[in-house]
Order: sequence, then C-alpha cells, then structure tokens
Amino acid sequence: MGIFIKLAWRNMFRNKRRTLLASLAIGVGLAALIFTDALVVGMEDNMIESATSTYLGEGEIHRAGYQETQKVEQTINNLDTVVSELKASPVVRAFTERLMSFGMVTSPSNVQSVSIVGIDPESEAQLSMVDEAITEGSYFTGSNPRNILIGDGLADILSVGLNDRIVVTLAEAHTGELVQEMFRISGIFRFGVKEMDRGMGFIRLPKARSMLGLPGAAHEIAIQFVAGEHIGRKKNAPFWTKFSQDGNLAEGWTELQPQLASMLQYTQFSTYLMGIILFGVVIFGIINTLFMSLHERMFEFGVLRAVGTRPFEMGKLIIYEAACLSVISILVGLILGYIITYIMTLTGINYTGIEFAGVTFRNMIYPVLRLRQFIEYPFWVFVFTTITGIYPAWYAAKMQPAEAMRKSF
Amino acid sequence: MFKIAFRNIFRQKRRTILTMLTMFGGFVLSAISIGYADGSYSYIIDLFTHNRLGQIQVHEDNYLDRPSLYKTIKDYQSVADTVMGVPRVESWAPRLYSAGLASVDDQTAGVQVIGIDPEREDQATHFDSKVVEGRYLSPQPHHEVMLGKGLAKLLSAGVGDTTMILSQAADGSIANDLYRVVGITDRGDATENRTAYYLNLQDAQDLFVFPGQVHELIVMADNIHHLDRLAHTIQQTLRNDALQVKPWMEFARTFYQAMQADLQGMWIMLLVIILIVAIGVLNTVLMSILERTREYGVLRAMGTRPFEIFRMVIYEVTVIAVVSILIGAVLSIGINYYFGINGFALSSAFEWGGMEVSHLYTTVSPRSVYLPAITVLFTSLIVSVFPAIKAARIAPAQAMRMH
Repeated sequence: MGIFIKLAWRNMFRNKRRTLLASLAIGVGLAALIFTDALVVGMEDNMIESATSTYLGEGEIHRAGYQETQKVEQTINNLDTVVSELKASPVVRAFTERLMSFGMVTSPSNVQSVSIVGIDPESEAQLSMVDEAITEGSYFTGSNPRNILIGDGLADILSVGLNDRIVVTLAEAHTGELVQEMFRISGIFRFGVKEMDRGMGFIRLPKARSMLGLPGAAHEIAIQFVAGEHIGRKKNAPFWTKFSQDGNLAEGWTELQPQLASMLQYTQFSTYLMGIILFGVVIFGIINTLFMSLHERMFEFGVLRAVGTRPFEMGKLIIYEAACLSVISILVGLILGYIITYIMTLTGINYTGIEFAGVTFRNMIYPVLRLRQFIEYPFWVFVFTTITGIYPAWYAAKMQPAEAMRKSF
Repeated sequence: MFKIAFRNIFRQKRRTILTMLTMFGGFVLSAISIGYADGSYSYIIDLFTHNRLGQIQVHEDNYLDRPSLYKTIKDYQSVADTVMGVPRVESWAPRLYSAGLASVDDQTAGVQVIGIDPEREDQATHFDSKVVEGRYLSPQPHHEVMLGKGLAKLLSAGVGDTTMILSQAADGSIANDLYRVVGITDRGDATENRTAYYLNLQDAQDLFVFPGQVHELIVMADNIHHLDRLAHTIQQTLRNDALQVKPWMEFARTFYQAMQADLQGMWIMLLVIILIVAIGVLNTVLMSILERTREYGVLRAMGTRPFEIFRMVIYEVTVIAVVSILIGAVLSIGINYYFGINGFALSSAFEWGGMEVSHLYTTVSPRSVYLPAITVLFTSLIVSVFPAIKAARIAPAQAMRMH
C-alpha cells in the first residue's frame, strides 16, 4: 500500500507544470473562500459595532413596558441591586445609567421639544460615542452642573451657539409640576443621525435626577459586553433572564433595533448564499482540473494496466493522486489566503464614504482572520477533491489497456 | 480552418464537455449571484419605500431640513394632477403633519397628528394591512382616529374610546376636537408607533384650519429604478421653485447608505466569484491546449502555417465559449426567472417594518447576463492567446517526440 502513496506523490512532480496549474487553480479557490469568510466576519463586526457603539449599547435594561410608553415614572426597579450585579458580572465590559424625559428647550428665538438625557459623563464616555461626537466646545469638563450638550441641528433650530444660555423645562415625575432651569451650552455634538442631532440634549445625571424629582433613579442602563461574546445577539443567553427580574426587562440590540437586526439577517443570508455559490464555483474548478489532468494521462494508465497493475490498485493510485494534489493545493491556498487576507487586515477595504455619522459607520472594513477558516475550508477542499477523484479512478480501473493506448494517437 | 476547429471540438467530446462545463458552470453561478444581488436589493427597497416613506416626496422648499407648520403645499390637488401626468408615476398620497396633546380620560400624551387620505394612503403604502386591531379609517371624514400601538398603550386607549386633541391651528386659534378610536396600527417604527395619531385628511385640515393644504405628497412609481431621474423630471414638470422633489435616497439617507454598504459587500463577493470563474476557465483552456502539443506538431509537419494554427486554437476556444454562454444564458435566465417568482426561502424569516420577509427574490437583469458573458468570453480569449502562440511556434520534430 505504501508504494502507491509514494508513487502518487512522485507523480505529482513528474509533470511540474500540470501540478502547478492545478494546484494554483484549486489553491486560489481556497484562498478566495478564506478571504470571503474573513471579509464577512469583518463586515458583520463593523455593522454591529456601528449599531451598538454609537449610543445604543449591545444591550439595555429598562422597566418592562418603558420602551413602549416612555413614561417618566417607570424607572428601573431595585437599581442598586441591578448595578451591583452588573458590576459583578464577568461578561459586562462597561455599563452606564441614563435618566430620560421629554422636555422643552427655549432660546431667545425659538422653542423646541426634545429628549433630555441625564448621563454620567465618565461611564457614558466608555460606552457610547457622545464624547467623540463633540464637534464644538467640549464634553463635560469641570463640574458645572449647568452644562448641557446639544446637537448641531438643534443649535440651528434654536439659533444658538457655544456658551449661549438656554432654558430647559421638564415635568417633575410625581407631581407633574413644571421645573425650569437655565443651562449653558458647553458642547455641540453631531452624530449624523437627524433625530439625535435635532432632538436630544445631554445633561449631568445628578442634575436630571434633582429636576425630575427622581433621586437615585434611572430609566435605562446601556451595556457593552466583553469582546467576542456577542451576547447582544443571543436571545437565549442567561444574561437576559437574569436581569429581566423584578419587573425589569433586559434586551439585546437585535430586539431594541429590529430594523438593524433585519438588515444584519438579510446581509447574513446574502453572504451565506454567495458563499454557497462561491463554493460551487470552486468545486467546479476542482472537478475540472482533476478530470483534465487525469484525462490527458490515459495513455500512461493504459501502460500501467498493461504491465499488470490490477484495476483496484489502478483506482487506488488515482485517488491517492487526487489526495496528494489536494494537499499541495491546500498548502498553496493557505499561504495565498493568509497573505491576501493579512494584507487586507492591515490596509482595510475602502467602503463607500459612508458619512452615516462621522462616527457611526467606519469607512474601512477590516477582514478578520479566524483559525476556523484555516481548518474548515481546507478540510472541505480535501474531501471534495478526493471524492472527485473517484470517477476518473473508476474509469481508469475498468478501461481496456489496449484501447487506452491506441486512443491517444 | 474554422471547419477544422469545429471538427476538433467534436473529435474529443470529453475534453470539450469538460471545458464547456467550467465555462457554463461559472456563467450560471455568477449569473445567479448577480440576479440575486439585484433582485433582493430591489425587493428590500420596495418593501422599505412602500412601508411608509414613499419613493419620492414633494414638499415646500426646505421642509425636510427645517419642518414648519406653515410650509404647506397650497394647491396640492393640482400639483398632484401634474405629478400624475409624468410617465411612470403610479400613485400618490397627501399628508398633513402637526403636533398636539391627545388625551383619553386622565391620560395625556404629546402626539404627532398625521392627516391622511385613507384611500390614497392605502394604495401607496398598503396602510390597511398595518392595522393590528380594529379597522382602517373610513374614506369619508367621520371624526375617526387610528393610534400607533405604543401611543394606544400610553393613553390606555382601545378601539371605541373617544380621544380629545388640543393644539394650535394655523390661524392662531385653539384647535380642539373629539375623535373616536377605530383602529390601532403598527408600521414597524417605534417612534412612529409611540406618537402617531392618524386622522382623515379633511378632519385634520378642518382642525388646523388648513383648507386644501398639505405638508407632503408621497409619490410611488411603477418600479424603483432611476427614481432620482424621475424626481428630477417631476421637479421640472412642476415648474415651481417653491416645491422640492426628493427621491428616497435623499430623504432616507441613512437607510440608503446602509443599503449601499451592503450592496458593496455583495459586489466584492461577486468579484471574487468572477475571478474564480476566470481562473477556472484559464486553467481548463491552458491544459486542453498544452496536452495537445503533439497534435499541433503533426499539423505543423504537414505544412500548416503558424498563423493558421494560432487562428484554429482561437476559433476552437471561441466556439466552445459561445456555446457555453448560450446554454448558460438560457439556464440562468430560467433559474433567475423561477426564483424571481417563487423566491428563495430564508432559513429564518425576519420582520421588516411590520412585514414578515420569508423569501428573497432574484431578478433577470441585463447585467446578470452580460457581465458573466463578458467574463467567460474575454477570459477564455485572453487566456488562449498565449498557448495559441505557443502552439503556433512549435517545432514539429520535437513536439511529436513528446508523449
């Protein structure tokens, strides 16, 4: 048996040009599979990050029902317990508390109804991009409780600029009485999302709590998980049930932003389909290459048969050859795939100038290399190449030596 | 010479079939992927624009950037008539927007009042199918209202309840009136669900004292192609600088860019597929010519001139490529057509704007035929030039010695 493997291996190098051509064709196919997979992973990561890191977070906790009605009295139950449990949770990378209310902002020239959000500057900066989105002035520096950040769209509507004063009117949570306070615009942000730039103002959490009469309360906790866990996408993760107690509801971004989740699902299905088609094309290439390279050697096989090689051994030899060829091709493919993908991970692929928030969508997509890409795809290429070898093997095994040798003239 | 090439093709049936298989397989697979990319893209956009935004919107100048109660389209009926006169326009619907405070018993909430023409709105955006409880507005104004489902919860209102609205009318007077809830809607957008208060357009015009005026016209075309051009045509036909006509790519920029990003990802994959097809063709053609060195040697020995051999090789490859493309085109058009009607079943259905998407569709677009055709034909021709030159330059004696 050993001799056939040896013979098959040696046959590879007898006609170097043929082997080179075949292994290049199959290898490029494998490299394409690896590259595409890496690209898809990179695209998905990019999309999820765009969706979650701007403001949303990978998950959020609210009082159950708050999302639908946004009633100001529906704050998170047992906030202290929730916060300490979040601190202890090993999967949570960062989280931040927010207190929100609809209110009115008045400038000397206009009035606009906006969503006023009380944030904790420190933890918010770790989680969302409010701090990065500041285009004028600065994110909360110092400790002035009367600082407010507004969007450039809102500044436009109100005809105000940096350091101007505006009046914020909110309704106290329990009594419904109106509370008015003067704020100084310390920063102007731009997310590039109209609704946010026009309809949001950020103030410090303690200030919001005192204005709304909700000491120590929060409506929302946004959470970012440790990298690679993708808990935001796993509806069944134990995290969600653990924090959906006492009348609270913890949800991942796929449920908070169903449109984005749909978009991702659509992308996933498309890439899945394209992946299958690509695999189909590669398989075609393998079948063809193998058939060609064996077909042109029928004369040689005829000779082998004529000198007494038994049909079964004949078939074995050809399958071994197919296997050897796939091993060489896989080596070529792995090296090619790694080099191409690695270069791309460094340079990135320029993706349309998506201005969708100078912050939100990054303009570059970086493919992501995963070990699995270098195990699964080579495995399938090996399997398919070897299986493809069965037909020529069977054909060569049952041929008449005399006829095979005559044919080639 | 052409005859010889033709006969060569049939002489070695297996080799011909193999070569054709590569070209044909590559063609069909890349045609399907382009058909899918084009088809599913149009389908998603179609769903999106039919959901609530419309494909083209007409506003008073600058309304999109700075909406104001007073930026109305005055004589909207005649504007709409002009728009309908533009070829490709299929339907339109008017909308009036304003804000107010709505209350049911002791519950009060800020709402966005949206005045719609029930019949036209349903024609343009299939609004009737988005009613989750109760029924759709009746065509004539009967002081009826539909609430977004979040708003209904916020007001603890159900079908049959009476709501009171309080706001300011265009003439500065106080606008208030009573409307009976007939339906609860879900258009798949959380903000809209939480604030939308749909009235019959006429009711809304009466309430806000805007006789015969609207803020927005949405326009639907026969298909989603070249809507920017259509918007431009409408703008020119209207001859009214006070009106602004925008296609969805502009008023829904975020979505448009997300789609563009997605499409671009798909094109990268298509390029990879086309590249692999090209390499497959290259490999096949190269092999099938190289293995015939001996044959060319014989031809040369019999006195065939080098250029004739070159021509023969090119002819052969061309014939094979053309035949593969023809068969491939027939099959791929068939497949794209079939999946264009029946669709690919998704592994798991997803919800889009209150509609369940369970299938995605391919389409028979011109480029799903000509792009793969160009790829196959050109790669086979370019690729065959070098081996053809080699075959033409063969030294007969040496070539025939080889096996």
